[in-house]
Amino acid sequence: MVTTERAATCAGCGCGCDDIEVALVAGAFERAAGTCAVGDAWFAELTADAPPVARVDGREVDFADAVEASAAILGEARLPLVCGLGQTDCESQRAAVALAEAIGAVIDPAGPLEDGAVGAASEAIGLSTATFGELRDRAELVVAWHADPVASNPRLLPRLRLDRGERAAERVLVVVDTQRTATAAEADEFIELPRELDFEALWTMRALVREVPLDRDLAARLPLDALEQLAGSLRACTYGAVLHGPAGYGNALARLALVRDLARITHVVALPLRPDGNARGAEDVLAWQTGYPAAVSFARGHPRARPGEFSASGLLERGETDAALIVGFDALRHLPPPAADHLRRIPTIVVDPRATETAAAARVAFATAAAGVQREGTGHRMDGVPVTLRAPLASERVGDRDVLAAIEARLSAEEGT
Amino acid sequence: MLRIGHGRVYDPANGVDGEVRDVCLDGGTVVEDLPSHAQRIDARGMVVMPGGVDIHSHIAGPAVNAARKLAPEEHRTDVLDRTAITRSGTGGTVPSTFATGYRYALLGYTTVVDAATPPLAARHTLAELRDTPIVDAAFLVLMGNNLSLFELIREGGPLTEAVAWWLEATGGYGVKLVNPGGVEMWKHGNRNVTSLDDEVEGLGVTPRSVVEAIAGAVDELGLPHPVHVHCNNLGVAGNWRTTLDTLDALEGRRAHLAHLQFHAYGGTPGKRPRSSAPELAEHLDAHPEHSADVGQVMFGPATTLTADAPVSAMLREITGGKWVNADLEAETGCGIVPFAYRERNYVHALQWAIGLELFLLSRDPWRVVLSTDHPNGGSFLSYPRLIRLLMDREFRNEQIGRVNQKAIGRTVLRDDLEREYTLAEIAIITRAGPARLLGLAGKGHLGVGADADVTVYSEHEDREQMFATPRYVIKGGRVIVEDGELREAPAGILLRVAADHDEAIERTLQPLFEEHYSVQLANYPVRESWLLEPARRIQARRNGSGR
Amino acid sequence: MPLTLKLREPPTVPLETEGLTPDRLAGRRRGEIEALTVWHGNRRERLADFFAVSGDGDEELRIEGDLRLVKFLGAGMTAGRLVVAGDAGMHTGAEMRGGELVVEGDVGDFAGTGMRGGRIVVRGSAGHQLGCAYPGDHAGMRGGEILVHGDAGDQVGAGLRRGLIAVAGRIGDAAGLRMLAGTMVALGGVGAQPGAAMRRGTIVAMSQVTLLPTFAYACSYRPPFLRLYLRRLRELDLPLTDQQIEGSYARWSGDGLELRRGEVLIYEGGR
Repeated sequence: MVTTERAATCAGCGCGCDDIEVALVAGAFERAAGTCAVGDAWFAELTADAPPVARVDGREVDFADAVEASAAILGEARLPLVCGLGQTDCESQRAAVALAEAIGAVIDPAGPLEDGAVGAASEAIGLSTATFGELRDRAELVVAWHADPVASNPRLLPRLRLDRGERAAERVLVVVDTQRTATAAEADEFIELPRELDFEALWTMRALVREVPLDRDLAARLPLDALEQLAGSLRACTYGAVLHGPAGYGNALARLALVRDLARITHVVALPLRPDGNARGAEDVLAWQTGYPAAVSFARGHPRARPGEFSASGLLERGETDAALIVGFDALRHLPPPAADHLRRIPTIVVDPRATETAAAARVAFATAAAGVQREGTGHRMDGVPVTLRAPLASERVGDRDVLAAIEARLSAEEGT
Repeated sequence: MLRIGHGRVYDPANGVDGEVRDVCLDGGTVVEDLPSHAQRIDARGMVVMPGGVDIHSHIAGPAVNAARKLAPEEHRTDVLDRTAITRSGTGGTVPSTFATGYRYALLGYTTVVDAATPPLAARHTLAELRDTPIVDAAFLVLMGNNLSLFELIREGGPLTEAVAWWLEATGGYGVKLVNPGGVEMWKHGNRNVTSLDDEVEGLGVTPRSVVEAIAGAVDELGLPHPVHVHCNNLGVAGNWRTTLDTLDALEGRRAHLAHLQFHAYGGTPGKRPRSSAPELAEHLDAHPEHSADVGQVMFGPATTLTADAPVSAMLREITGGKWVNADLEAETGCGIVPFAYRERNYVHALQWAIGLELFLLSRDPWRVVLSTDHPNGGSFLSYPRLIRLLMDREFRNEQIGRVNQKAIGRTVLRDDLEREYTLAEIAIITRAGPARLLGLAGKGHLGVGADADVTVYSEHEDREQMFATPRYVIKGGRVIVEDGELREAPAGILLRVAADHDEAIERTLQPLFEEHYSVQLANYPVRESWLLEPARRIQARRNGSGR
Repeated sequence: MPLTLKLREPPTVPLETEGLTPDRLAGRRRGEIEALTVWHGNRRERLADFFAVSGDGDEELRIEGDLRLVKFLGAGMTAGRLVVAGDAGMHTGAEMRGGELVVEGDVGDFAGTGMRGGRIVVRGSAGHQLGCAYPGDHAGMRGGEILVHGDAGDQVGAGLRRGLIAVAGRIGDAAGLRMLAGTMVALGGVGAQPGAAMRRGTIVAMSQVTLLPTFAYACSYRPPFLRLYLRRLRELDLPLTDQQIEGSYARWSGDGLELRRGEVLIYEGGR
C-alpha cells in the first residue's frame, strides 16, 4: 500500500490552520497530522461515505433533474431564503450571493453560533482587531471573555503561544466565564461571571478603565475587586487583547465599547472567535458584493440589510419565507425549534458535502465535493486572513459553487425563453 | 471594428491637442485606419480622450471592505438595482464592488489602481477586483512596515530580490510605503515616528533607511512605477518639512508621493496649520524624477481609510464617531473613520485650498496628477466638480468666497490665481500623466497599438456636467456607456508587474516567515488561477541586467 | 364610511406597502388606488390583488384585516389619520412626519423607526426597537409621539433624539440605549440596562428599576416639567394616577460613560 502525504488547510473552525498533512493510502483518506480534535472530526465527516450526488424527495436522481427541481422551487418562491454559507469557500459564497440576487432572495450567513451581533454592533461604533500573528507576538495580556477556545478552537491558544506550555512568563491569560472552562485551566486567573451580568460587568469595566465614578451598591452583584484589578492590568499593558464568542447585540456592543475605551489609553484589540471555518468569509463576500455583512434581502432588486428582520432564524421563526436554499449548514439541528419547524413546512434545497438531518429532510439535496478536502478554494480565517483551501483528495463530485452556478444558469435560461 | 469619427481629439501623449480626426479601434487596440464599412460613432463637435486612469484610489481589499461594513446608513439611501446586464449594489462613499466598477466606467475611467494592499491579504483584494467590473485594475503592495524587509534592510540582506518576490507572490503592480516605520510603532503602545530619523524601536531602522533602501530596490528592479510614498506625519501641522526631507532623501531617484495635499501643511505641530503648498510645488518643478497625486479634499461626506492607523486614531478623537483599527501581522495596520469636510471649518477649507494650490501652482501637469485619494478626500464621483474648479476660474472664485476665509487667507488663492486648466491639461492629469507615471504603455493615449479605451464627451460650458456624463465610454473596443447608460459590463483584467527574482530568496525568507507569520511560506504566494487571471504582465526592466 | 382598504387574506410572505397613507391617497379615485403597487416578497403586484377598496373621503384612511405580515403601514405619512384595525407588521409608521396613526392591535418590530413628527398610538403591544434608529445611524426618532397601551420589547427609543415615547405596560431591556435626548415614560416595569450610554434626555419609570453602576443618585424631587408631560399622557388616556403626577421621583443621572446629562426618574410615591 502506497502512502502519500499531501499538504492541507483545515477549515474545521475559524483558525484555518494551513500546516496540516493529510496521509492517503491508495488515494483514500487515512489520517491527518497536525490537526486538533475539531479538525479530526471535520476531516472524518468530510471523507466518510457520501450520500448520492443528487436526490429529490430522498430518491437518487440525475444531477440535471435535481438542478431542474431546484430552479422550479426557487423560481416559484416569493421570498426564498439562502442561508448557511459559513462552511463553504469564498468562491461558493460568491455564487450563493449571485444566485440569491437573481431569485430575489434573503441571504444570511448568521446562525445560532454566528448571530451576526458583532457585525451589527460594529456598525454602530466600529472595532479594533488584529491577526493571529500580532496577538501571538505582541499581546502581553489576553482576556478570554465568555469564550472557551480550548473547546471551540482547540489550536488557537497554542498558535498564539498562550497555552500553559508555550506561554512566556511575562504574558498573562485571564478567563472571564460562567464556570471554570477548559480554557480557564490554561489561564493565570479566572473570574467567575454569570452570563446575565455580562453587560453590567463590561459597563463597569468601561467605568473602571476610564476612571469614571461608580455606584458600588449598584455594582454589588459583580466581582468588583477582580474586575478592578483586570481593568488596571489592561490599562498598564502596552498591547492587550480580548477573545470573545457570540454575544447578542447588547453584549457585543459593550465589548466593542470597552475595547475602544481601552484603545484610547493603550493598544488593545479584540478577536471574535468563529466556530465555522469560513463564517468570516461569508460576511466579507456579502459585504463586498452588497455593502452589508449579513441579513440582506434582494427581494426588491437591490440589497437591503436589517439585522433581526432578515436574519435567517428571525425570518423562519416568523414564517416569512416560502422556500430555502441551505448551503453547508445542518439547519434543523442548529436552529431554534420554531425556526426549524417552519423549515420543515417549506420546500428546501440543501447543498452540503455531508450527510445531515437537514439534507435528509430536503426536497432537493446535493452532496458536493468539500472545499478544503476535495475542492480547492479560498477561506477567510476568523481574523480575516485569507488562506488557500487545498484539495488533498480527488473527487468526481462538483463543489458547492458549481451546483449554485448550475441552478442560476438554469433560471436565467428560463428568463431567456 | 469601431471608428470614432470627426471628434476633437485630446491625446497629449502623442501631441494631439484638440485636432479634429478619427480614432480607429480594432481587436481591442487603436489602429491606423479601418475599412469604410466599419461601425462608426459620429463624434462631430465632441471631445475625445483616452479612458481615464486613476493612479491612487482605494477600491478593494480588507480595509475597503471593513469601511463598507461600517456604513449601512450610506448604503440604505444609495442603491443600484439589478438589471439585465448589471449586478445590484450599494453606493455611498465606499460602494460595493460592482457599483465601483460601473460608476468608474460611467465617469469615463477605464483603469484604476488600488493604492494599498497588505500582501498577506492579496487573495482578498484579488477576489474583490474579480467582482469589480469593466475597469482594468492594479494594486500597490504595502511594504513600509514589513518586519522581514526591515530585517533585510538592517542586515543588508537581499532586499531587491525580496521586493520582487513579494510582488510576484501577490500579483501586485508596484511598491507602496505608508508612514514607513510609523505604523509599526503604532503597534508598540500607540506610538508613531515624527521624523525621518526616528528609530523604529528595537528594529534598527528609521523611516529614512526604509525609504532609501526600498526606493533603491524599486529602481534596481526597474519597476514600471516608482516607489509610491505616503510620507510620515500625514495631517500634522508643519509636516511639509518631513515631506521635503523625504523628497531630498529620494533626490536623483524616481519617486511618486501620494495625496501630497495631506502632507503640505505649514505651521507647528499642535497649532493651526497653514499652507506650504508653494514650497512643495516649487520642489517638484525642480525635480523631474519626482511626481505626486494631489489627494484633493472635496466638501461633503468621505470615509478616511488608511494603512496609517495612528492618523485614524487622531481623526477618531476629532469625530468621536465610528472607528476601526486592524493590525495586520508583520506588515501593516489599518484605520477607518467616516468623515465629513465642511466649508466653514478652518482646517477643512485649508485642505481644500491647498489641493487647489498644488494644482494651480505646479507647472508640469505630467507630474502632479488628479486624485481625491478616494474615499479619503471625497468620492471619485466628485472628480467632475474638481475638474470644473480647475477649468473655470469664475466658478472657482465663487467657491473660494463661500468657504472659511481665515483659511483662504493662509493660502495664495486669495491672489485670484489666473490659471485655468485647458482640456489638454485635464487630459494629462486624468489620463496621460497617470498612465505615464504608472508605466502603463497601453493606457492613457490613443496612438496606434494603445488599448482601445476611449471616452467621448459632449462639449458643455459647465465642465462638471460635461465630465460627469460622458456621451460614450469605450473599453477594449466595446461601447460600454452610451448617453450616460451602461450598455454592457464585461470584466476588466488585472494589471500586474513581472519582476524576475532569484528563487533562492525563499531560503532567506523561510526563517523570517516562521518568526513573523501565522501562515506557511508555502501557502503565502497566490497561485490560484481564478484569482490571477485574466491578467496582463508589465515587464520590469532590471538595471544593468538587460532583462 | 371612510376610505377603507381591507386585506382579503393574510399574504403567504410579507407584503411591503409604503405609500398607503392618508395624505398620499387623499383625492385619488378608487381605480388609481387599486392600481397602486405593493411588494409581495420579490414580486411587484397591484394593490387590488390584496386589498378590497371601499368608502371614500379624505379625513381618514382605514386598513383592515390580518395585517401581521404587512410591513411599512403608514410609513412616511405626513398628515391625516390612519387607523389600522388589527395587528400591524414591521416598520409601521417608519419615518413618519405628521398626522396620526392608530393601531388597534399590536405592532411588529421597528415601529416608528426614524420618526420625525406626528403621533403613533398602539392600543396593543409593540415589538422590539420601537422608535429606534436605522442600522448605522447615530440618531433614531427625531420628533413626534409614540403611545403604547400594552407592552414594548427591547431597545425602545434606541438613539432617541427628540420626542416622546410612552408605554403603559412593561418595556424590555436596553431601553433608551445610546439615546441623545427626548423623553421616555414607562408605566409598567423596565427591563435591564435602561439608559445605557444615554447622553441627555429623560427616562421615567413608575416601578423599581435596576440601574447600571454608571448612574449616580442625584436627589428626590417633584419635577414640574414632568407634571405637564404626565397630564398630557393622561389626556391621551394613559392610566396615570394623581399620585404619579404630583408625586416624588428619585433622580439618577447618567450615563457616566457619556455626558452624564441624562436622567432616570424613578417614582417614589405620592404625597
